[in-house]
Amino acid sequence: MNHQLTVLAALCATALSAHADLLPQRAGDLTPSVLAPAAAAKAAPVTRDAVSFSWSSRAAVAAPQPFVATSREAYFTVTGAELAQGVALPVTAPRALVRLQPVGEASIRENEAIHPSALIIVDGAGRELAAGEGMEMLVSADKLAKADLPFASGTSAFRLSADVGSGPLRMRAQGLSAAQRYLVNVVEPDSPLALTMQAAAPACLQGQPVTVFAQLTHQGAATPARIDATLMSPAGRGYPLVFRNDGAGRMAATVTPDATDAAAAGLWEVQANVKATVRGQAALRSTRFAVPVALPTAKLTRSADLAGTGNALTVRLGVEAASAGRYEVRGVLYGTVNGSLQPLGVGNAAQWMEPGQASIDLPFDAALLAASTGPYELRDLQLLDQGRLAELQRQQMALAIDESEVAKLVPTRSAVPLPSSARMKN
Amino acid sequence: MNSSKWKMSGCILTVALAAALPVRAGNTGVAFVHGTGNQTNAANDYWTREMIDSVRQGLPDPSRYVVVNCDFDQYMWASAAAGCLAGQLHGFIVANDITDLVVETHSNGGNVMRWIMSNPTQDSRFPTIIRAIRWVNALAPSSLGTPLADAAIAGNAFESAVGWLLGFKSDAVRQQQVSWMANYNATMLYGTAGRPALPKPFHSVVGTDVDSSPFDGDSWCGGYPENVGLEVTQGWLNSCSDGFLECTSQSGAGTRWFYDKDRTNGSEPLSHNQSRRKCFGLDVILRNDV
Repeated sequence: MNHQLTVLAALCATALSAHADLLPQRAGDLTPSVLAPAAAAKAAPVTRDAVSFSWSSRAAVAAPQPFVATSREAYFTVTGAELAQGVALPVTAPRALVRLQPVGEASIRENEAIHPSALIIVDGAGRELAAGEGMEMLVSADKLAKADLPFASGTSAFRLSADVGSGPLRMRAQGLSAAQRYLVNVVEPDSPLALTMQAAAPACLQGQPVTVFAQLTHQGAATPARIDATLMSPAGRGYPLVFRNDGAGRMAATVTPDATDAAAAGLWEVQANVKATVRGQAALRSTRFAVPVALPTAKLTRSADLAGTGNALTVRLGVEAASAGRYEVRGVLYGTVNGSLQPLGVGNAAQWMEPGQASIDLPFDAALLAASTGPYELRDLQLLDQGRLAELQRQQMALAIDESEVAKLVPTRSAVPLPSSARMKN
Repeated sequence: MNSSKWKMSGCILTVALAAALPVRAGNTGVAFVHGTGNQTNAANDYWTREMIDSVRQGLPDPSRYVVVNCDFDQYMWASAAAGCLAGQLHGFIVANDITDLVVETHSNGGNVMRWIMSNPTQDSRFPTIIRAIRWVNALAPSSLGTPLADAAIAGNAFESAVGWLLGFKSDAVRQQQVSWMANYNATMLYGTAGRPALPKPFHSVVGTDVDSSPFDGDSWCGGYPENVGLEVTQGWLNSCSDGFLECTSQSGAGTRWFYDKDRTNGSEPLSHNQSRRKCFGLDVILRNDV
């Protein structure tokens, strides 16, 4: 051990550092402009200790893409009185699933649950089937509850039989409280009518525009529709989305969330209900999907230093914070192996920062660089606000590092990869 | 970069020392990590004692196991979730000198474990835990979320103007919505397609179907009534699912160890309730793995 310490001390004495700047940002990178102060972070617990960790990863990294929400389902509410009269089931394909949920407190839901066997289906020809007929896989509320699924108490479900067809169908129930409201969820996995929505970017920042695209298609062809949609913050503040044709065959809406909305646990969401007339029948589609919209509490200063300590290549990244918090940088180190750039390892580092400027050291263990040469690249660089669970900045191509720099900083790179100590799975 | 930018700096000796220390031999242990829910006696209420006792017989010392009890109704990063899990794993590792830990997770427990492995800098205990892990066996993990979580939360959204304030649904269910998991997988979790690898292997066991005929004895393993509800929920999912999760979600992170039918006794499928129980030889497969 004493010998090791002597060697390490010698290595440390030769440690160097060099200044660098991050590469210019490219289209698709997430970049804060004006920072916003925030209240104390509450979303996730944080420690004040500086912690870093790196490990080997040979998995190629792809740029993040916006989530694409595709809906073949509809939600609507009806009352017990309306069910007694009969309500339209807006189905567009056979074998739709129907879920019924009384709306209200849990005790109300349990008392007002509808057993599917008590429902009457009126088929497309106007024929009234016997109670419970025209359905399959009838599951009462008590049976669904025993499956330990996260549905609300009082929820029941069934599937329409194939021979009932796709409508226009009606559903009727007797003996319900007239004023009791029910949520009806119609799910049509095989429907030719689909609503597709997505945000323009995989991640957004408060104070910057958020664009959302929408398209309703029937058998693949665009279908005119009325879109009622809202961008909803985790705290419940809604921003109406007004859709217009974007000239490329899609409907698009843009809204700019205030930078004053408090950071809260959870993600922002787009909630949408779409109405259309398809082959003379009213059709509905509903969707709801997450859009991360972060409060820009900090940003990278774009200044970076490289340092070597004998057993790690460290990238020291400048960070400017508008709010106190625990900030993390993470990235993927690529190096040249057998003549091509390949991922070598992942580095994560976090520390507490007060408002102002500081730097975070992102070390990559020298063992990760074994059997590689320059050029090296730092890719998929992220700045995260750990306490507020927010992605603040992301740059796919962040830093280029020459072989000559690494040769000075990490002179003890192994010529062969370290053998994996992982046991093989049978 | 030109040489004029070079300068001498101080040495971070602690980093060098940590790497120079030899790997120390210790003990093998196994940890059981439950899924969504606030557990106080997961050995009896979630896994069943017969499942735990069967698996731990594969250890050199069968007493070196821990059954985690945490509040996984919370978001995976919450102190009552990942923080609690880290506390119980860290305590077990330190008290038993564990250097070779096999972690058995079920359902959302795989996400909480993956949170710890993907966010080693969130808590100073996380690196110690990661270093001790040999691998994670993720039984039916909800790695890509499930449309059933979306359906459950959507139902609740009609309860009030802002959607989810009645509190019926847990944060854990909200987090397991498909678009939510897509976001966390793309930003703060590792191990999915197009993302860096996790620091330790994450092997999934994938349930592919649900048998729920009262005349089929296999439907009774894990409880017949539980499996009846799971069969109808398959309608929300694609053709390969365990009644709660699509196979693509279960296979979405790490590497797929096996599909249920490829290794279970009689090639029986494992429904979502059966993949945490002593059904069709699953316990023996896990016992032989530790």
